Amino acid sequence: MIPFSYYVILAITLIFIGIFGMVFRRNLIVMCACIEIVINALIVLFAAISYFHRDTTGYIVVFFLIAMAAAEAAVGLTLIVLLYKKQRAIHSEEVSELKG
Amino acid sequence: MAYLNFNVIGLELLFFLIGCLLFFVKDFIKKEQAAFFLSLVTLLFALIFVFFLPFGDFTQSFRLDFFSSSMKFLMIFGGILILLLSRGYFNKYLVLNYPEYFGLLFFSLLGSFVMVSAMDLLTFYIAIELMSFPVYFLIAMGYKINKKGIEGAFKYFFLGVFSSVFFILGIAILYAYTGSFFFKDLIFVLGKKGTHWEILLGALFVIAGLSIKLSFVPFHMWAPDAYEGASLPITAFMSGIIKFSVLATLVKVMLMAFFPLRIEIGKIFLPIVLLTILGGNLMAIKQQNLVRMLAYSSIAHAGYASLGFIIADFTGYTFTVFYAFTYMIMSIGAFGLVAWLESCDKRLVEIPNLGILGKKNGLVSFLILLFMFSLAGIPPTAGFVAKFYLLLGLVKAGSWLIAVLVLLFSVIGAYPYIRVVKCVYMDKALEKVELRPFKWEFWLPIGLCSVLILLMGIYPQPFASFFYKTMFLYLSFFYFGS
Repeated sequence: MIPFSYYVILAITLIFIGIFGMVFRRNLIVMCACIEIVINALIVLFAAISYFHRDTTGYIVVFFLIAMAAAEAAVGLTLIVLLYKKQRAIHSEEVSELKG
Repeated sequence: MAYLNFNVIGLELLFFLIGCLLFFVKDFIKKEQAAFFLSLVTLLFALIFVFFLPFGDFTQSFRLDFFSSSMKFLMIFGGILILLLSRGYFNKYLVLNYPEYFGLLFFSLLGSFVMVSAMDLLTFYIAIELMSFPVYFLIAMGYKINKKGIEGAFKYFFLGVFSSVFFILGIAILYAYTGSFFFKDLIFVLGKKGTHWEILLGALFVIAGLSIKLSFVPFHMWAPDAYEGASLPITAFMSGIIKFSVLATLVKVMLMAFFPLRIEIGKIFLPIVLLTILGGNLMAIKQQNLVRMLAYSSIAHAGYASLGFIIADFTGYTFTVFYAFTYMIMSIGAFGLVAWLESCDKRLVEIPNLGILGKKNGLVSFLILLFMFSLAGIPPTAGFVAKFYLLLGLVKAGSWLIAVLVLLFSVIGAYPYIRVVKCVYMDKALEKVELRPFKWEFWLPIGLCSVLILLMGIYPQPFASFFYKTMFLYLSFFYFGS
């Protein structure tokens, strides 16, 4: 049986991969994919906690998170399509009218 | 199996149905203003409807009580102001007048209603997302009049995703160490176990997630961009109602879930809040654009409001909600005025061009003076009273050093507002600008805001005690159990 800590390590690794990608990649679609990676890492984490604590609440959270991940991808891709149509931009350096 | 008490979620059901209806209202009624009037009537109805809803639970994760329904009342009030401002703004920018605009506004309000009465962290999370998703689209809608709209929406979206990731991570840690994320279980377990660093870590992540929505300093970059990109009524909505609802909910979470940890969480808040106030105020100084200046000031004001978490007792939380409400009124008024200025001429949004106002329109100049004084915290306005209460609370809690620091920061922060007043009254008119008439869609909400500001500034006691009473029920809940 795989111990709990392995799942935690997997989840943390995936979270770091995702956040790294969100910060350092410049392609907006890849950034959206990285969001998915992070949320899937959290799903793994919740499922593991739920399994090892013998508590079903975490599984319910997993379903909510899957739905939220889908919604977030939908919103992000909508904005990307809009951006591409209006400004022909797909890299985040091309979208820099505002100075933050 | 407990039966479901649908009366409790009456307001949410109403908003959900009307929000759905608003998306295809143009198929039934061809009139241009149909969506506006439908949403206005609904909000006015809801303003009264709130009083007739019974208190109670809807399953374990949703509870309507005195606190949440009074917060909902205030949010609906703010929503009416935003709606009127949008109407006035659409007179100039007709391209924005989609029924979807109002529908999305309704769904965002629905999210903040659910958020205030959430009783577990999962409902809280879903409600935050429900509150923010429509706002991304509302910001992107500003593209029609302002090319920066989509970019602002994009930045807000990515930071929003970061926020939700942090928030879920916090929930996961709390869930792993306490075995539940219902508030009533959390407070029980935390009271029994005492402070563990794991639980504090979870709370820290939850706060980090919320602090993106509140634009605290490490995560503040989205705020000026999104505020500048959005159309101005939406900016008022973001800085007023969303910040108010998130702060009110954070207070509720602190009272209902993290009450045994309130001192430690106050210590976590301390550097964030001080940096936020300092950073927001410093960066507001060099802005030439009125919207960006107000955006940085909104960062600073979220910091002021969160001082109540450092005080970490009931009076502190009361003053936090009081400050958040005051800021909601102030920012809706100030952004409303900016919306009027922008609908006259886009050049008026730059601060040095404001000189023409003092000569041409005395009323608007006076209103700008009033709102800027209130934002700077000069008596007899509400901004002064709210800041005074918070500083008083800090001194009473023994942290007078923080109070002195905040006072110094707010002296720095007074400069940009006073500069606007100076530009309005003392500068020469640089350019020829035609001013539009100050119509009822603008003077009604802005006038209401200014009357409220003066009222709260001169006689604040009933408002403060009202907010204290909303929290008093939680006090009794905490002492006598549920």
